[in-house]
Amino acid sequence: MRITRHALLAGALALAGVPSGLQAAATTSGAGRAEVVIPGQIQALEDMRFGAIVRPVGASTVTVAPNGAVSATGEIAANLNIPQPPEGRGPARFRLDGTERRAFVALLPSSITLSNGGATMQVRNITSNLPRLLNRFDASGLFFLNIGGTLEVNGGQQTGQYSGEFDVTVIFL
Amino acid sequence: MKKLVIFAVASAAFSTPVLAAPVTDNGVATAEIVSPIAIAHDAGAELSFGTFATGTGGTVVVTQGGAGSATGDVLLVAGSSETADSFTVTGDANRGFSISAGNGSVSNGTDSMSFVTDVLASDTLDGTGTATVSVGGTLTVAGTESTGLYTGSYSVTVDYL
Repeated sequence: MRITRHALLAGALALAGVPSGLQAAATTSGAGRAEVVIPGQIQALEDMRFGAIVRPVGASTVTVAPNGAVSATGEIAANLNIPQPPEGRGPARFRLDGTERRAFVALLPSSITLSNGGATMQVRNITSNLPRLLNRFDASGLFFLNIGGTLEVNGGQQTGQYSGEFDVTVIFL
Repeated sequence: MKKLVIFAVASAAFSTPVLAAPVTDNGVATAEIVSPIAIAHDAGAELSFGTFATGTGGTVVVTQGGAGSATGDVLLVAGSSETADSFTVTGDANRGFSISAGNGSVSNGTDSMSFVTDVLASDTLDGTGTATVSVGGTLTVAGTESTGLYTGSYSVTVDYL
């Protein structure tokens, strides 16, 4: 019955959209756009970006929160505002394509190892914008998963560009 | 209308698997560690206001390029050598930095003269992560100073912008 009411509501909306009075003829072109997605997909949109960090003498950390907030400890805190690469700092972003009301579970890494080919750093305390362990898609059938974490920079960390891969797995229930 | 809706719902139910296989995608985490900025005084360099007669006072000005000149009644003597000071800054290639130089004074143990420094507010490290900072200044001469060799120091600080 609930479904039926939805259908009737949609019909009413469609009727309301029809102009009631006669109008002079006017034609314009509209833009058509369609995107076909397969429900039950995950797609990486953005990297987890800790940005440019001045090498500290003592161990320090940089934290990027799922909402994009950046904080730091140790010496990095004093140099947090140096100019950043174009991509800036921010959480990793994934697009989850599901279906309305469908439940899902996302499995996040417990840590990520970043390497410059010689030295490594760890990202720990991985956090996300998932409200709870078991989540449901809203009416859009979409969820944008943001993942942050805390980068642990060692004292005297070797300079260079660091990167590391991690897996995010989504189980659609 | 009602029948159509029910049909659609039934159809959707059949097309959705009860439990789909997990899907996985790779994320990438990135960071760049950059060298801290450092500054070193170049050996042999100094901010030198040269050799002069005080007269009734005035100033000696040394530009960042090392050109010296006197104002007021101060007279630079023939053969006087004025030089700008020089520092080497090292750090992350192509990164900008701010410079601040303090003022100071020189003394011969009896009298002293104060000077203000003249330096660029900021500069950028080159592709090898190196930059040279030149410091000029203006020395104030009262005209009552005793003769002799005056020396002193000042500080220069650099920081990433």
